[in-house]
Amino acid sequence: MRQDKASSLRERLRRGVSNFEFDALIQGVSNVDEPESPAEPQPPIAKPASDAPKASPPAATDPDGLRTAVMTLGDRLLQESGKLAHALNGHDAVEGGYYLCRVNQVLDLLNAVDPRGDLARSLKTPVAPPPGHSWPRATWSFYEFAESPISGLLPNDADEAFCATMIAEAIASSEA
Amino acid sequence: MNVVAVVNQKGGVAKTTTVANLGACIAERGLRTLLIDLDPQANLTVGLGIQWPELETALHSVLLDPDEVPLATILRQIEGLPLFLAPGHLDLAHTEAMMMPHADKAYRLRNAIEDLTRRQEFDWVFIDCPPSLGTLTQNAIVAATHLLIPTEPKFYAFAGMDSLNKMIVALTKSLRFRVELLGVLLTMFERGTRLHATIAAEIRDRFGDKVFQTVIYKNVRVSESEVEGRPIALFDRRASGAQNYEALAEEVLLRASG
Repeated sequence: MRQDKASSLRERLRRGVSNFEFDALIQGVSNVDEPESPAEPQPPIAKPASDAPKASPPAATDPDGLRTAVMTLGDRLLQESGKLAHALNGHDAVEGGYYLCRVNQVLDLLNAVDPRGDLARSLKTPVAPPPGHSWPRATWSFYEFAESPISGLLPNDADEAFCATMIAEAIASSEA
Repeated sequence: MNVVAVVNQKGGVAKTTTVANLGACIAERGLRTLLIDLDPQANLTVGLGIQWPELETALHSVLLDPDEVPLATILRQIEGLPLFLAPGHLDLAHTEAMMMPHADKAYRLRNAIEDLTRRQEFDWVFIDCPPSLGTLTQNAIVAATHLLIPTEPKFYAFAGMDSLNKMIVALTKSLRFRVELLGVLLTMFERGTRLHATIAAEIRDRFGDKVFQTVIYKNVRVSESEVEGRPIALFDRRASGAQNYEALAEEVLLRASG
């Protein structure tokens, strides 16, 4: 690597890293000595429609329809992310991009109908985000993807070029 | 007692290898050490020579029914050392969803460790976390006194640690716990690779002395030791991988005493 390339790499790295926060990790956290706050709301357990919790701002007025939509989209997310994982395991960036596009589309819909993931949790959807988290956002750029938990599906030896190809293919698939 | 969650949402960064080998190196010094396989892939369990399909009970049983299956009942001793394993199981994959309705779901592992250590003394506990930031990893963080973050010198390392940072901040809003960073460990390092050196320098710049001086280099003997179901420190002491983990153990013990 030539000196100018090395400097350029360092500069780009610095710029990329400047968006990230590590303070809680570096300083540590402790709230065990703080006074107890009122009981935290527990994630709702699936209940009959008549007393179903209204934790999420409903995007539709028909609660049964909303539940069905979340369950169907949850199944879709499971299927598409499984296919994405399979493509990435096979080091196929093009096929990975295609399924990343489909995962993104499902995530967009889930973010629209169940923004905080409360309904998915209450329905015990296997792919529901953990308490305190909402759905991952769709990732249409390298940085968004790197920050998303979906990046955990990447094979160990995936490099920047692999990711760039996958993202480009995802964008192309969305425009097709 | 030190409880160390070895955590990184990225897979393939040597979390499992670090737990197995660091644990073995510390146990060889006569310190009672417990390894907890919290990853549904159960690679730590298999890597220490135990076949999870043959287990009637494993960690998932403890998390789902702690009264019926206390942690002490599933422990396996390794190689005659003061080294014990709480084996993992594929069924851990379903455990997250099954714990969801329970109010104490994030405290199950901490309660299990506390219950165990009332009866058996351990100096060190290392938790092998799954490559995700779900309920199992939350259990590990809440149970831990320290975090150890193995990471490859790649750009994703920063994004991964940023996500972990965000998750910890979010957890403080709903859970009670205290945890500090034991250190960031550079793994899978390739000698003579300028890219790795550049990214490692940036990680040290951001995390300062929280980054371990010891670096774990790529070493094929470590992979071979996993096939043999033994930590490298016991399989081939002369291998550079074994020496890396010996050095890490010294550094970890020094940090814990300081």
